[in-house]
Amino acid sequence: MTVSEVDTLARAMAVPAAAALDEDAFRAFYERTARGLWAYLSRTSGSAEAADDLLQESYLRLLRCGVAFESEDHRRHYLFRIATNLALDRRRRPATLPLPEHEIAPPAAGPGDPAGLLALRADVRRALGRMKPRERAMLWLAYAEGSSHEEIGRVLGVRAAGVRVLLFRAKRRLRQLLGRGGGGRQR
Amino acid sequence: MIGARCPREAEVIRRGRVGRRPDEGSELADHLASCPACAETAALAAAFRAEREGACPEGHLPSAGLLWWKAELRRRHERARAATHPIVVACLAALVALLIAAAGLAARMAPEARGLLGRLAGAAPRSIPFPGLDLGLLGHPAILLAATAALVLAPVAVVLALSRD
Repeated sequence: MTVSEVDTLARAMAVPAAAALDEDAFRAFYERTARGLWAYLSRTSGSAEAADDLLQESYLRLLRCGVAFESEDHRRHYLFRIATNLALDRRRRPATLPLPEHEIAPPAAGPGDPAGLLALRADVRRALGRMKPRERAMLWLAYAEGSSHEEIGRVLGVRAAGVRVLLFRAKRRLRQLLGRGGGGRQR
Repeated sequence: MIGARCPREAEVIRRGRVGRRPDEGSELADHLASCPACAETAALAAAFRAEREGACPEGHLPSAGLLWWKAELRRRHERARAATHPIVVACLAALVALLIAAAGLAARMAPEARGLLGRLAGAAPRSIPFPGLDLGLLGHPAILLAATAALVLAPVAVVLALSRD
């Protein structure tokens, strides 16, 4: 089962969110979210090792936070917010950090990957490696997670109106890095 | 794909989020065919999602049980720290107060102690070098030294107690 399928299934089942997680509920929540969070962290932080550490710390902090969550989505956004803050704290020093060479290597073909998608994946990966962590996070949340502006705002601690502007800039930068223009000022 | 280049961009991404392509001949499929911005958005969203799916197997995910156990350990550690901190601080403060009180009482009440202090201070100057300043017993160099040491060490002890992990 792919990550998207797990997500879709979890949403369809409308998992009730308990104010405090017991161990079984945590295990189920972890199974539903860990792989997606790891992918987010590895691609926004640019390091698989960092993603391993950040993932653990994110869940530990989530378990410690004591917030009463309204829903599964609320808890998930909160988890991504914790992870984002940890990743940004870790990367405060350099404004951009290119992904390591092995990370930029062309991605392995999946069973349903047509050649064009595979090439675009490689281009996207390379472009992300040259962007700022916050830009990566925004684009990932928008495209890979399919989050709305409001959801991105909750994760990154930015108002939805601000997300719109920042996302616009991030997308324009992505277009430039992908060699698709985007120098215009269309909004 | 940029911002509001096309108002249907969000719809295109949302459709991709659940892994559904628009049905052939549907209105959205027609729109994708005629709108370069949305077509590009759909392609990029597909690339990001494929990247997400492809990235997942690389992760060395710890088990949920291990994380739960670590969180429990942290909780216990924090509870223990929270419970013992005030006790440690109170003990230190009490100890310092006790020492100061004991020194003061000994100097004031026991003639023997006075004699001993006098003998100890025999080699030292009889009073502090501030003309016109009379501090009584505190004017004695040995007592003054002890009080100064207590005043300096007490905050240090408190800082150490608070910073100890």
